[in-house]
Amino acid sequence: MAYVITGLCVRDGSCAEVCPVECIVPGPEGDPQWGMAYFINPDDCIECGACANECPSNAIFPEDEVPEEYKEWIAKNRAFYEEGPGYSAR
Amino acid sequence: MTIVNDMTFQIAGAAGQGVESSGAGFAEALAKGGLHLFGLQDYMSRIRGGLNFFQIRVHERPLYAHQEAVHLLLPLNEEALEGCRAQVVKGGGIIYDENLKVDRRILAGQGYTPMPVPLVEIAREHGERVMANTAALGAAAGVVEYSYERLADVIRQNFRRKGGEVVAANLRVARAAYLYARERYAADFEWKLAEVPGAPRRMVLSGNQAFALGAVAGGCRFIAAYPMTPATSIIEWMARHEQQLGLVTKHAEDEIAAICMAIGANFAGVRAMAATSGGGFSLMVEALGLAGMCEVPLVLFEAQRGGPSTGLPTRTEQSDLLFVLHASQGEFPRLVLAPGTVEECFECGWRAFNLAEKYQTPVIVLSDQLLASSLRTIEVEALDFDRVVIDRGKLLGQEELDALTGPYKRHLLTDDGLSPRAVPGHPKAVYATASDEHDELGRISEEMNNRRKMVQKRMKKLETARQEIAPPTCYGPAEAAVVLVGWGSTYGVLREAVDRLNGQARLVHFRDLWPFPAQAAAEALRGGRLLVVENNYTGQFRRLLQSETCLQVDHTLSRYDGRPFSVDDILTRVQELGV
Amino acid sequence: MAGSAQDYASEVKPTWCPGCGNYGILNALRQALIQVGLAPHQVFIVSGIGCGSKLPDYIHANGFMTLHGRPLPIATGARLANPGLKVITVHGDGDSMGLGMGHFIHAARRNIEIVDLIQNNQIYGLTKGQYSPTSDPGFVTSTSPEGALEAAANPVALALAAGGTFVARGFAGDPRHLADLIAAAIQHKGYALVEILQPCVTFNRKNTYDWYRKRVYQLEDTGHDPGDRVAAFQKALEWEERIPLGLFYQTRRPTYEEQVSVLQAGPLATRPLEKLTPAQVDNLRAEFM
Repeated sequence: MAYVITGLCVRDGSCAEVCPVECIVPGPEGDPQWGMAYFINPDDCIECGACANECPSNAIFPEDEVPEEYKEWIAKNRAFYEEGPGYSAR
Repeated sequence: MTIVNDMTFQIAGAAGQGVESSGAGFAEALAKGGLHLFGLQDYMSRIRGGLNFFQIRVHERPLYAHQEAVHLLLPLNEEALEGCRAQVVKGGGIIYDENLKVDRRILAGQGYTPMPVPLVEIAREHGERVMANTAALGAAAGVVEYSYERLADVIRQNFRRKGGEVVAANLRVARAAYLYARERYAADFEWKLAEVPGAPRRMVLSGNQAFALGAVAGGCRFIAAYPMTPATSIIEWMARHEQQLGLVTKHAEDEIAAICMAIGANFAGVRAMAATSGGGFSLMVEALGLAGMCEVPLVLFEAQRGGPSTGLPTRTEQSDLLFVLHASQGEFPRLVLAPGTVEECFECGWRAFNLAEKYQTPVIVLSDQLLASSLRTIEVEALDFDRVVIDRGKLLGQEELDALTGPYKRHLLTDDGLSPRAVPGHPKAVYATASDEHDELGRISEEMNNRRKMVQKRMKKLETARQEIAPPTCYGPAEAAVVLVGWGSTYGVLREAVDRLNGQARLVHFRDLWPFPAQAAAEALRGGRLLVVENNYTGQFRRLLQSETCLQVDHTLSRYDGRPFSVDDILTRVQELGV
Repeated sequence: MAGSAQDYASEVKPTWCPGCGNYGILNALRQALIQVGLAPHQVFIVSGIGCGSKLPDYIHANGFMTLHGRPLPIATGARLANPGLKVITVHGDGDSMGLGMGHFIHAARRNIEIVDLIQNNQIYGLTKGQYSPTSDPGFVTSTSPEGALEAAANPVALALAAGGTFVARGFAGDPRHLADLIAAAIQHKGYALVEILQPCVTFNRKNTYDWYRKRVYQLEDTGHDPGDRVAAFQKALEWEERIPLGLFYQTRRPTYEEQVSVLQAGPLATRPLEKLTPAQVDNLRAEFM
């Protein structure tokens, strides 16, 4: 069960720095679709929680704890890597 | 005047001279003639040199102990003669090679009957020098006029693997020595041995051999051990029987590995044991607690020897009792058995495995060097294979496993403390457990209430196991002035003491030590002055008895010099009590 | 019937620190088991004591969290009793290279078919930060105030020297590659070591993810031949500047289990346990008559 970055993200970037498997990538700056947040690759996430620990805006949750109003971000994190730029945006 | 079928032989020499093999051969020849024997081995912790002896006491009636007095000594070198001479009775014979530097007049002056025989010469003439021991045995048989044929049977059997030539040579040597000795010494020698016609064939075996038989009869199919006197013969015997009985043995890299392998094998569903002595048990202590905590069945065989530390590796003692009872940190249930005879070792062998699996906990079997290696003749039926039962307790069978629903709880809380036990491999019983405190599912838990329940559950098993514990055995008159109290290997010597004391004493012997049969003990020990006899300095059994029953023990008899009690030790002490 | 991620899921949440390398190891192990098509009931994970050794609680498979330093002999007993079980040991550097060093050498010599995962974070985590046999020389901790004074133990080199038939190293920060290594180890016939480099994010400030990332490289990218034991030894000695990952060495020699005649008829554990037959009893008695 992967972790999910939600709309609370402020693009601080600490999450990406501590991720042991480097599976967090910022959306390209200014991009209308992806520019507002960082994204976690749900297939590579090892659920270590380091990102959630670091996040200054408490924007990151384990998938089954994502608040109702942010549930769409579950699919959005995956979409970033399947349809969006994914790791190439790093 | 002749004394027939009541004597003790002793063959003695340096390590490497063949004392053990010769002694064993002679014992077989006597057993084949229908005689009873008790064979006592005394050997040093070395491969060459020193002084080893093999004592064979012979009688028409069953024997349970050795006797100190020797009637015919076969020293294979001068040191052996010097070292053992004092045990020979007045008039007792000493057979030795003519070429040993021995002054027969001195021996005769001391009251012995010197019997020089040209053993090496006879060996060389009829076979080879190396057959000098065969000559010695031939001479011994000749002096007591025992049937040569019985000795010949054993020679044929034991040397068969070396080929017809070797057998024939040994027979010639034995015959020549037999005739030589008989012609010169038999007429003036009081002690004789005669076959007992019509006697049934009997078995001759040691406590270790009996335990191994019992274990395999009881379904033991895996043993891990590290060689350590006096337990090594268990794994060696089992290793010789791997193919025959379908068992796996592992000489592990150390005792910790040995007990861990046995635990792993038991966890996976095979009846497994580890065998060791005190030093090895010391290394195994931590893992003992693992088995107790995780409710893994385990049989641990500990043959005690002189301690502490390396101590007296080849000698006997009963000084690990309290250690074994309390070993390992924390509290968990264990059973401790201490068989006292060869027959009890056999029964203990299969019983221990049932107890381990029924109560899903370690069962420690305490023996000692005396019981491990001394030999006795016993009736074939005395090792009762028919009575063997294999009872696996709450081990879940195929159908029960198939019928499981929901997550399997390896440590399910139950009234008797015993959980239904699955071994890994079935899809409906996938589980993990931990040496940390854990919940019913085996998951690590520090929670307070769970902890209390788990401690109670495990210790409840001990209470449930009480029903299995045998009361002490009583021997002798129903009442007597003195009550000899013993445990483990002292059974034999105490039993004989009771016989010799003619009503003055009775025996109460313990072979199941934990859970301690306190009530049965209190009843059995009522009336008479208690004399606890044990092979240790601090009176460990006495302390156990006192703390479990609140009985006051009046007297003790200790021996801690690495040698077994003699009947005389007991008789002397009883006389001292002045009852 | 292979297990799925769901089958292997445990309800118990790991107690590991956020960022701990053990998450990656758990992830990789699960992936590997699924990849090779094993179901939870076919697997038996034996661990020692330490943070990483709590892994059996966090995966749904048969497991036994045992004693510090002792998973290998316990796993060996289980293998000899039931070679039908896929047995995997999971233990840290203190457990395997400290207390359990002897058993490690013997397991490799023995070529017992066990997958041996050594979680090497070069420190003692659960007891809060003392140095370990694999700590780099000079590493200062509460029990090495002058820095570690001994040469670091090298699991890969030791396994090679002891005759290990599958010797590999992975990195918790690259769980995909690690999963492939573990899968190969599972399929190997014999003792299979996978040393897994992992940071201890709480106590080891030297050997961090960055520290490893600057140094690790894949052996297979350099054309290393895993059939060449001497080359493997040479690679095993690389550490300070460059750290090789991947399969150092693999060969095939008879496993311990394959050489035990009695086991060729099938596992002891699955045979019905019966009393001795009268013929067997007679034979045994005759030995002593």
